[in-house]
Parts: sequence; structure tokens; C-alpha cells
Amino acid sequence: MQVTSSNHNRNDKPLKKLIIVFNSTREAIDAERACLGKGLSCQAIPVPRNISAECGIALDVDQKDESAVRALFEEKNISAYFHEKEAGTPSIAL
Amino acid sequence: MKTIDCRGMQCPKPLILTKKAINSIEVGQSIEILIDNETSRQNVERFLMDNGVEVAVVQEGALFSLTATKRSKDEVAGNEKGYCSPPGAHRPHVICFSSDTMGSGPAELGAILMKAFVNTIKEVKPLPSHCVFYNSGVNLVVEGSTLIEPLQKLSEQGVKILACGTCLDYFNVKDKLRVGTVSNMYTILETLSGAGHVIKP
Repeated sequence: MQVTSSNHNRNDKPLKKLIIVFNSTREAIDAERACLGKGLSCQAIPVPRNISAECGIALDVDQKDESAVRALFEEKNISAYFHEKEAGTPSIAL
Repeated sequence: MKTIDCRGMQCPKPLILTKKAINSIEVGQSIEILIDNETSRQNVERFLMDNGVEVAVVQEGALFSLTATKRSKDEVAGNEKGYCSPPGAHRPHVICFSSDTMGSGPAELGAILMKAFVNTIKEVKPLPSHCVFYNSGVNLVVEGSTLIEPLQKLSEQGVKILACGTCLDYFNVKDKLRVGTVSNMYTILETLSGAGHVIKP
């Protein structure tokens, strides 16, 4: 399964990114697994300091995949909070 | 064999002359470099090794004779001045990946922590000089790893990625290395022992 290297646009022009945070580490792990299973490009990153000072794992995904990711999390019953990169405030909670 | 006489010279002059000489010879050819102080010897040796040049050192009293053999056709482009570290100066750190998980405990937790760790390396300056991968750590640099792209970006920023050849062979993934170069115990130990400090996630 080759997932994250599939996006060749990145070197030319950075795509808009979304930072997704979760209520628990369990959900973060399940969400990452679900995304990779569907071939959706995602990177596990620490929750940015402007969102929370507590240790936590967030996912960094391409904005173009937002609707697919939202649908996937709904299907898997994963609560997730979407932030635009460097925006700092949650846009919509699922 | 051409001899570069660097006796009495201060850094970065021996490095500049060495680089020029290495770039002027063919793969497989050697040059001899004469150096008369220990600091310069260390700097030149480290500079050559980091650039894939094989080095053998013979010491006679205070004189060092370095035989440098070109092993790669790539032009040596390293920043010479960066290697002029006076004794005790700051040396960059090295990150050592001895496993594909961060810490010990549940594998799925260790795996996601490791992914977040690798994706954070670029955020913390200064960057490490090297990332060394051995044992199950090599899983992070072979086909199927989700960390190829972030590691590739670090590599483009000058972080050297070394993967243990014995380990790649053991896991039968030698042909699946997707970032970095195959390395051996000598280079791995030299890299770790030459580091300012070593971080092991």
C-alpha cells in the first residue's frame, strides 16, 4: 500500500491542508488507519501548540480530501474537529 | 597520487583544497592530504566521510597523512565552513531510529507516536545532521512506509538518512529502500560517536 507519496502536486504548489484533532488517542489511531485504508493521504502530527498544549496526535490531510475524510469518519463513528492549517480555530465539528 | 600539502593551514583552507582535489579526480582514484594538527584532521576526515569519500589515516608524530579515495561520481558540494568547528564547539545532533515504534508498549501507539515524531523533526531547529535507521527502524525508510515523503524532504534540506544494510538484508527489503542510503556498522558508529548528542525516540 503506497499512500502518502501519491500526491505529486506538493512540490510544485503546496495544497491547502487541514489539521484534524480528536477526542482521544484511540480515535486518532483509528482515523489514521481508516484514511490509509481508503488511500487518503494523511500524516500523523502532534496537535499544534495553538490548538492545545496537551500531548495529542492530529492528522494532516489534503483539503481536497475533506469530504471523503468527513464521510469516512461518519461511517466509522469517529468524532473529529477540522482546522484549516494555521487558522487556529475549529471550523466545523462533525 | 596527487598530494595536497595542508601543513600550517587554518580551517577552512584544507577543506577547500581537499574538495577541489576530490572533484578533479575520477571514481576509484585517490589523493593524499598532509595535515599537521588534530582539529584539522578531524574536520577534513568528517567532511570527506559525510560526502561519501573513503578515508584512511596514517599518523607519524604530529603529521597526519590522509588517503582519500573517491567512491561516488557525485560532485562534493558540502559547505566547508560548516566543518570548521573549533574543539568543544557545537556539533549537530543525530537521531537514531532503532525501532519502527516510539518507546516500548502497544505497537499501534508506538507506531503513531513515531509518525508524529518524524513529522515534527522539520519544526525543531537546528535540524539533525543525520537520521540513522537500524533493526525494525528500517521499516520507516522502505516501500510501504507513510514517512518516505517527510524523510525525503528532510534529506533535501541536508539531513543525511542512513539505513543499516544488514537490517535491510535481514528483512529482505534491500531493493525497497525509498529514501536515504545503505550504510554499515562503521559509518553508523562513526556517525553516532561524532554527534554532538544522540536522540533516540
